[in-house]
Amino acid sequence: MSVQIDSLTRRISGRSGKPDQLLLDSVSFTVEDGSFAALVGPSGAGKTTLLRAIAGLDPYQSGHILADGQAMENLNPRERRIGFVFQSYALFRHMTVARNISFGLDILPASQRPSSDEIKRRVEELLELIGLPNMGGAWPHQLSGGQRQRVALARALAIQPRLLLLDEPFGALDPVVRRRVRSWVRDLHERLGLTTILVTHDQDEALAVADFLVVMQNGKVVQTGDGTSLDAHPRTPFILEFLGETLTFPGHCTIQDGQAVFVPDDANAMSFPVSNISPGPAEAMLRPHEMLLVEEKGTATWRSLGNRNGLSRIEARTTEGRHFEVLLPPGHTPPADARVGFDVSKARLFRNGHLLNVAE
Amino acid sequence: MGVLMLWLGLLVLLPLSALILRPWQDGTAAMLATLHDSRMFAALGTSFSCAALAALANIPAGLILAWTLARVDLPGRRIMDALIDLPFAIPTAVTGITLATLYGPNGWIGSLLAKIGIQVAFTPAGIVIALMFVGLPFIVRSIEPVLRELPLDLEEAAMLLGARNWQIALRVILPPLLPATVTGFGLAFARGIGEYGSVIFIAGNKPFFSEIAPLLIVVRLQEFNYPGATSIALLLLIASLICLIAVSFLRRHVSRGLIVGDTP
Amino acid sequence: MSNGRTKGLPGLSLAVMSWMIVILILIIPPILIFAEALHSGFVAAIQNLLMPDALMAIRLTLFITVIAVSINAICGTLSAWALSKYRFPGRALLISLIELPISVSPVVSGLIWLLLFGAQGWWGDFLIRHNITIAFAWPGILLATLFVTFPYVARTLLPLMEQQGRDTEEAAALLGAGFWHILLHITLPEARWALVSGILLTTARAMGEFGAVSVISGHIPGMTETMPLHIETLYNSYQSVAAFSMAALLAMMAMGTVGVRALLEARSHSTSGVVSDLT
Repeated sequence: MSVQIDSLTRRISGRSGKPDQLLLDSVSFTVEDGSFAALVGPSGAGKTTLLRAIAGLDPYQSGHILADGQAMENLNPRERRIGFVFQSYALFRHMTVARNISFGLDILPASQRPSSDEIKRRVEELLELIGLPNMGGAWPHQLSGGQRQRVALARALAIQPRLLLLDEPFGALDPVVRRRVRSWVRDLHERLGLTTILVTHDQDEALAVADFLVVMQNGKVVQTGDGTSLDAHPRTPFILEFLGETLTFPGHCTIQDGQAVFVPDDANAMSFPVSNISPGPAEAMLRPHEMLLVEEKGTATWRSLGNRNGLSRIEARTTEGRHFEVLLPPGHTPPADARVGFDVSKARLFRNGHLLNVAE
Repeated sequence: MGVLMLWLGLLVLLPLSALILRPWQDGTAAMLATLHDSRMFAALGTSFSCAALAALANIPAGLILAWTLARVDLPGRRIMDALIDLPFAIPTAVTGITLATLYGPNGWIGSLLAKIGIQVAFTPAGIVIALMFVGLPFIVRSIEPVLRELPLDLEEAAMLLGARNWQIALRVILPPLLPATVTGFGLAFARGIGEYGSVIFIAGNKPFFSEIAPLLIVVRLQEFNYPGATSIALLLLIASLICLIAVSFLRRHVSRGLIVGDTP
Repeated sequence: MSNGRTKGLPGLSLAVMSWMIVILILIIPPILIFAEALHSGFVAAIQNLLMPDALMAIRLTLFITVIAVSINAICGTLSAWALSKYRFPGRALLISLIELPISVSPVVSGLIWLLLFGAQGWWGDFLIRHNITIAFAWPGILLATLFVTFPYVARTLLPLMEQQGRDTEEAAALLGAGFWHILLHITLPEARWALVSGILLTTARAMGEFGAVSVISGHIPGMTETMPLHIETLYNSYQSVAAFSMAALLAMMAMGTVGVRALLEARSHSTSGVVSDLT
């Protein structure tokens, strides 16, 4: 189902004279049917608060949550048919894996409950789906973290939810398992086509699994979109910095020979032409792999730091002592000269915290 | 170390060894003869059954109180918290005369019950009431910490899976509380079979009807029947020790995760 | 457009039930104590407490309490210290033995002393020959009280001292501090709240002990009757107001002690109730 969040606001009254705190500040966005969205942002941004509000676990003061265009407010959480995977998995420790998974079916009134054979079949199907066949008799404490996670997911799927909510589902897993479970969740989503919303503070994770990102900060939605568009058109420097490593070059825009150009303060960085920008101070920000080293254009020194993911890592150091790491894109060889300048023309320009233009 | 051994030896080991050795002093036959005492078995039966009944009756009350203390954030919670320990703070003799007066034929509650034809004082029911009062804190304080530790997201998960409140209570909350409840039961029961001061005033102490084992010890002592008194005492001691060993065994295994599993 | 509360199960109805239980089981009895005590007015209640036998009982109770608490506080502290700092075979057994008196019926706790010092006891003849009275006199009452209140100080101190570890003490020892100096100036100050709490618990138990004392005291009014025993005597002779006056005084003393302890614990942000220390 599609989920539409419409100016959702949650306020908690401040204690002992402090002002009220806005946990959610008129949050609005839409998750299309069948898509995989990620609520992403630093801790304290309001991601989990929002997710719990969608599930009906936490209250809010104003705004609406619409499911397929219909208001969810009047639905009790137990009637919403939402699959929720908690950060702690919240498995029932006194039940076997199979009983955990069948819980949502076992508790149905006798008139709606499938026959016990049918329930058994469904549990086996789900165990198969999560790659843990024959584990139905195990107890939660006998499972590894990744296995518990998948059982929690199977339990949520057993009630055939219309929407799947995942609250930091990979947070408690070690890095290797995390990557494996992550791609498995992505595959599962593609197979089931179930609308899914994931909460994470890890931008790599969000970029890896989700096709739609909702970046949050201080209870507000800063920007929504897919990874590529957020990277290309970040509304604020925060988004660019949050989504990955950045290099920053302060400078100013002026007119030279009738052409608007950005002149970095760092003499090693070369000016580049810009369009539709009024003169004044600005900040150029770009990714380490977007910067090019140009021979005979500056006095910075460099040295190789080896390879990462097939890209050569270079440490550049200016005569003023500033230094940073750049990545050479594939096909580019390290410069022959020991002295280099920087081509930063792929940078996004910001003034007063807002995007000015985008380099082509 | 020396102080410890001396203190422990003089105050605990020496008198307890007297209790254990004394019954055999007049020969095994004499010891076994004391066991042919139907009044003793009646008294032990009364003590055990009343203690078990009281501890059992305390379980629902204890669960509700523990829930309120651990989960419901209403004004007055701290006052309730302090009140739970009241039965422990009031000396047993004071409890005894108070309950006897309260449930006596002319008492505030006793007179009300008399109108509907129920007599509590001077019957085993009175013993159960007294033991409930004394045992309640044990049940509440055993369950409460476990309930406090029980993550709220278990309930939320169950609710989102469609469970109604009673289903959540029955299927999700109560099973993990079971070991703690049994622990509380065991502690209250162990306390109940030995309880004296709070019971004797309300019990009526009729032999073969409402006479508890500790009182029979006192009676035997007044008859200068030391072997008789000692064998009852020994049986009581063994019973409460078995209870406590069972409780500590249960606890160790719970903490090892054999019963409810370890924390994820 | 709030979508309501959903923090766990409905709290309100359970809270209402809880308060009904609390009022019925826990609040009415203490109210009755004071209502009965003041039945004939405040003056009468005080007059009852000033009767010679009543005054004797109060004095005996205070006397026994002070001595029993002092002995058990000192020995309990030293034992807890020894148990927490040294690991040796049989340590767990010793700890269980220290806790044993909690689980012994009060009547049995009195009986064991009669078995030693009573006329038919192991050393009864010896004592009679040398004209020493222990049973049916205050030394017997003291011994019974000591036994019953034996565990509390050591029990409250032990967990705390185990947590402390030996680091600070070893540091002090390396600086040349002696055993007593370390105990008095390093270990105890850190554990002072637990010590006070254990002492208060011991005090409350010592004042109120009935069963154990009852067995060994002989019930001689004005001689070997502590406050709880005198309450029994008064009650059984149908002097209800006098009995409840004494009961009210004793209850206030014991509840006051436990109350002070609860306040101390709330301050030192420990949450365990009285009973959690017992179980």
